[in-house]
Amino acid sequence: MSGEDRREAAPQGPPWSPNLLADFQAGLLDPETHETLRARVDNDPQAQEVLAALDTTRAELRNLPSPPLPGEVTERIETALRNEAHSRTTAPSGEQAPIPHRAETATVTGIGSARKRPGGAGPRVFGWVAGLVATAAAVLGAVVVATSLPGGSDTQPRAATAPPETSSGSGRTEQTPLALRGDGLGLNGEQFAAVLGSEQYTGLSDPSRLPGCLQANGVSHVRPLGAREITLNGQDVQLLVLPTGRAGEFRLLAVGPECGPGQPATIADTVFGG
Amino acid sequence: MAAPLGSDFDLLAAHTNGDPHAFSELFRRHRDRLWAVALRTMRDHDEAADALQDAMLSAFRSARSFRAESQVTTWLHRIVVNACLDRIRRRQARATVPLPDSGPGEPASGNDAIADQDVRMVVQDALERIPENQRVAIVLVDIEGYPVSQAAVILDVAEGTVKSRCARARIKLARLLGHLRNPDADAGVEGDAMVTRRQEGR
Repeated sequence: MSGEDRREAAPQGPPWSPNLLADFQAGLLDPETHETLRARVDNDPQAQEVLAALDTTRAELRNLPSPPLPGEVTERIETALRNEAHSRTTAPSGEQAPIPHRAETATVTGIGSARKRPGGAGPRVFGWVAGLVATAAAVLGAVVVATSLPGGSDTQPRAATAPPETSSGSGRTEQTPLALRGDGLGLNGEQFAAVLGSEQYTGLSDPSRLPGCLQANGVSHVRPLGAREITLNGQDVQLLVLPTGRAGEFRLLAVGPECGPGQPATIADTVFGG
Repeated sequence: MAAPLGSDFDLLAAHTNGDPHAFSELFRRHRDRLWAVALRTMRDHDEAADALQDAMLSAFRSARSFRAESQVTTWLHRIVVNACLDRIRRRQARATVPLPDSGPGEPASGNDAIADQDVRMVVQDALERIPENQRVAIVLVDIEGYPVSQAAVILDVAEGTVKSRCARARIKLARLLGHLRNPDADAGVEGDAMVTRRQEGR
């Protein structure tokens, strides 16, 4: 502490110095001195004039308008933050949070297998997929993941027959239905990028349900990186992309519409990429 | 629809867990108030923007160092204030930067009375003329309305120090603005010119 500590000495006056009166007004004096001075300045016109000047000054300061952050500065900073997030996602990391849990039935198919799959398109990064999405797709390469449905015995990856996301050519993602068929959940790079860039919580629109649903599936303090309502063999499913804490690796969690607090409703839970 | 992550702490936790969107949302939530502090402290639009960007990137990278005993907003403001003070010190070490004639990026409003605008510009100019540590305290307490206790955490000083800096600053500002007409010999501020400007209506 310095000379900026509160005053302890008994004030001498009148006249009272403006600095003492400013300390008095700021609540800087000890309680005893404050009360002593208050009784004396109340009937001192000169002191009242100084206190009024300080009050006027404070009022003028309070009335200064607070300009909002200009749009171009907002955009610049958000771009810098996206770039930072991008570099964090792609950089090697040994100290990120561990993956909450993995589905034991998950099967990850390598790049060679993916290329043999009929209709298994290679990774095409669309122009409308910006920033992280593009990075994620690039990191993923041709990796395709598939997992079996709970209770199923077939863990072999099946080709996803859903149409890929389409590009409108205007830089906007068209939220076309994403329908998957087969014994397992399989996404190609394009489909994954479409889910990663989406925030569609149709089945979990109640704000209280999503955190409860995530917690029921062992996830806390994590917000989905992407969400999309899809159909899996004709069944409505909420697909969520969650961070694993590892660069280029994501957790895919598919839940039924009844998912909520205490009700995991897990349909598929697997890891994509990595 | 945005995912319903409620508190600032939730967002920061999500960010440290790898959510690439969480920190941007936190920034969007508090950007105007952080900007106001940066702009008032720097008194230069471009420098304030640079300081705010530096601060946000610093906060992004050091989120794991956040300790829950303070509010997330207090932590963010502290980083912004430090970024501003760093820039001010670097600027002072380099050269004197001429101040713009207009206010610090305030939006022009055709509806404001000329007299009100004049008062604001004079107040803003007066703020430039007090020491930076007093200016930051005044910006936080008198302009942005933070409690002294929170300003003390942001500035990492004792509450008494915040009160003292505010008291000294108010005296100087009152003289600069012409509200206090009998300056002490120890005032050490250039009050006369501003009082003249104010009286002339600038």
